[in-house]
Amino acid sequence: MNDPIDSKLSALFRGLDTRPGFNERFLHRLQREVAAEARRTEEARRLEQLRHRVARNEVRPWAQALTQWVTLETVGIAALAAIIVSSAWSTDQIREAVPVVFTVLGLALACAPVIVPILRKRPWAP
Amino acid sequence: MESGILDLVRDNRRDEAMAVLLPLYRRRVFGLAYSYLRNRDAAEDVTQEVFIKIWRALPSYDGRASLSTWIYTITRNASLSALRTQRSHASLSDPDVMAEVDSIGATSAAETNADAASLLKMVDQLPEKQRQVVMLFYMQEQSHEEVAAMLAMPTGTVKTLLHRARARLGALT
Repeated sequence: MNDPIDSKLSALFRGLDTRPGFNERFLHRLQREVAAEARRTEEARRLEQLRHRVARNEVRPWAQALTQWVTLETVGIAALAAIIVSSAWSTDQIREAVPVVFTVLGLALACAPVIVPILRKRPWAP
Repeated sequence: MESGILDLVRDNRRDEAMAVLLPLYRRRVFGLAYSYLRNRDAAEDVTQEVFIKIWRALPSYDGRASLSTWIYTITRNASLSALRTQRSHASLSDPDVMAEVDSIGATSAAETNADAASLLKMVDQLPEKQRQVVMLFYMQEQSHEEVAAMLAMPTGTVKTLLHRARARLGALT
């Protein structure tokens, strides 16, 4: 290291360093990065929750969704409708209506896999 | 020192680990980036980027490679990536040389400024690896081993490159 070229090169590169205030500038940028990362994480979490909800709704079997309709309220309404029909119609009329009722129920069951997902998505909702 | 930093990381005290790492490695990371990019502003950008990457990756650092090896690898990759995105290959023109000599604070005496500028230009004209070895070796009177670790090359290669660079520069001056 006694060569003149050594001392010249040493003098040239010895002072090589970042500009003053580098640490402060870096910490400022780091704070921005931390805030941006937190925003990205929150957005990713929200999107994932949304995807999970949609996927769960899509894979749920329609029969399981249909059972959600069988509640105390719907059973009560059905019983009330039956009482009204039986009191208003004669036995013969009821007997005639039975095939129609079963046909309507059968059609409703057949259409359920199509109708239930549409109702669940509620396209009219805001 | 390294185990202390690892302990801080394990304790989920990443910010404190960074406060230790930054002064310890800032100059070496900057020097390594500068040796690739030959531009102070670009090297500072890469240095910031490297420490951001370190901050992000610290929780996954498992200590298998030494901390310095890990940091130098990140720095080399970031520098090469920055170099690829630079439109023209960096080279110091005459005004740039004077600006760089001023900015790296090589010397304050006006009469030696021109000498420093001509020497910097000669260094700039060395083959890439020789130039990098020279810059890093003289930056902080570093050991051959440290320069070898920074550039991921054998110590013998560093010695050979340094010897050739010195001979070339000696012949030019």
